[in-house]
Amino acid sequence: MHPCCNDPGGRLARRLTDDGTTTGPPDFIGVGTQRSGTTWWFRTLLLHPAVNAPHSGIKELHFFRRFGAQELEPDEVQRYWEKFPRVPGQVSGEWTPRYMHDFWAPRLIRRAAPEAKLLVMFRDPIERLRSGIPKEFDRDPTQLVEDVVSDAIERGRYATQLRFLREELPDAPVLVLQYEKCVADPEPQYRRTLEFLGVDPDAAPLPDFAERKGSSQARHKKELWPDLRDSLVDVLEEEVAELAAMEDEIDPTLWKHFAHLGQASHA
Amino acid sequence: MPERSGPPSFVGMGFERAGAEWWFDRLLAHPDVEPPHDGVRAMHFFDRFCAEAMTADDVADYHRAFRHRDGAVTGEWTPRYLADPWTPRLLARAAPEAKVLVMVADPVECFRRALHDRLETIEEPHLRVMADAADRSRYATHLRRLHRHVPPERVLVLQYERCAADPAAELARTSAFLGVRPDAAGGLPDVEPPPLVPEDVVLWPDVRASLLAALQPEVEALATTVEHLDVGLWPDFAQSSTGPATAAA
Repeated sequence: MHPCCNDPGGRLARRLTDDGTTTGPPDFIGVGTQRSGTTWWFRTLLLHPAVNAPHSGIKELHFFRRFGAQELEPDEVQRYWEKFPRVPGQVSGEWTPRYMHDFWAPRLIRRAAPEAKLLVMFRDPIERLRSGIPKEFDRDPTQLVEDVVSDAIERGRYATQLRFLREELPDAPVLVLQYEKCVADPEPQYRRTLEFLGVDPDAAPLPDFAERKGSSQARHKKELWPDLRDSLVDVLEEEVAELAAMEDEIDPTLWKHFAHLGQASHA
Repeated sequence: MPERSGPPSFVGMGFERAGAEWWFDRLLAHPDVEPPHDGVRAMHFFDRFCAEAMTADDVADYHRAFRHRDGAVTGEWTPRYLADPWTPRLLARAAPEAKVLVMVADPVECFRRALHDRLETIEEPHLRVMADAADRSRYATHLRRLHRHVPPERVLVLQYERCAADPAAELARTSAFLGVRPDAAGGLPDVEPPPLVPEDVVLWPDVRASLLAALQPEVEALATTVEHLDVGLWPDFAQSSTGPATAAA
């Protein structure tokens, strides 16, 4: 076992690269959630000169997915670290929304990036689902619709996932963002995110938040019929209620299907 | 003897592996338990209603699949109904009086089995298949959803390991629950349960530990709500065997 893989409290190795940057474990990892504006938010953060993307420029590395079926070896951890360049004063990271839903990913993050700060963006889970299903069929039209829908619903079990993330990574700082708040009033959420990452928001001009949007699935969204809508609310209601109780930042009144849960606590 | 169509007397769900088929076969060997009349035992009737609304005509079609004769019960067993979140509400509409049989088994072994079965057919095994297989073992969550639409007194939870160890006793219990003669279950053919555990699916230590951590709260919750659940039969969770479980001797 490489000592760095099993030494959460130690200084993780940094390497100097040919272009003068150093590489090392990511300073931050976005772990959730799919179809919740994470591409827009990541691109917006990258407009600040102190925030850096992976070498490849790819936001979602999906690094941990294959280690569900094979062991994560120290040399793989080293390769992961080499993906994150930075110069002094910069932070570097990635954002793969499905890490949070893949039950094996948090424990592997603890091994491969024990000092990383974690970012989570939540969106109304029913709107997330309506956006995620067409995207999933774009990716693979041969899938069974019941498998896709079932998976999309399970991804909306936010409280369960967040609770598990914190149990598996008890020392990791976690910033919870709400997509609807970021859309309605982005500047305070932008500042909050940068401060969480240890970056001075005032060291660069504010970005144009309307730019850098990700792909929209709005035209592909299906209307929900009463049985399905009621089933979704039925299944996800307790998750939203628990999430709101866990996280002051989450305001259920901004989620139209769950507004009734927040009317007392966010009056 | 005259027959009439109507909603099923019972619906089986849970345990998406060969064990459910084995158990349903044994149940159907009872003289007063009948399958859907076209012989399709897992109808998957509710699957498609995640993508379209279930109409009154659909429900009527469903009812036509079940023919009752007096004194007998009829039903189907579709394992995925348990985990598909939209099904309990629709089931309560399409078969409001139906009794529900739920089969659960060691979640870790079910997970391994699911990987074994599905890795052969799905190209992206390390993504949705793994997460989905774990989600389908969240029994307590699924049962809680089901109970919102089907009252607990109309739900019988069976544990595969207990059925395999003492099929006669569990068949008698199931028969009594369904309202058919428990004594008739004793003469059923003795068929060995299928093996649950494939040997060729290895869970790496990190994955196994993560899976146990994810499912431990589910098993604990299940143990506090399901009578006759013997968590001691699930070695990875044996320490969770608290609550009202009445462990088999």
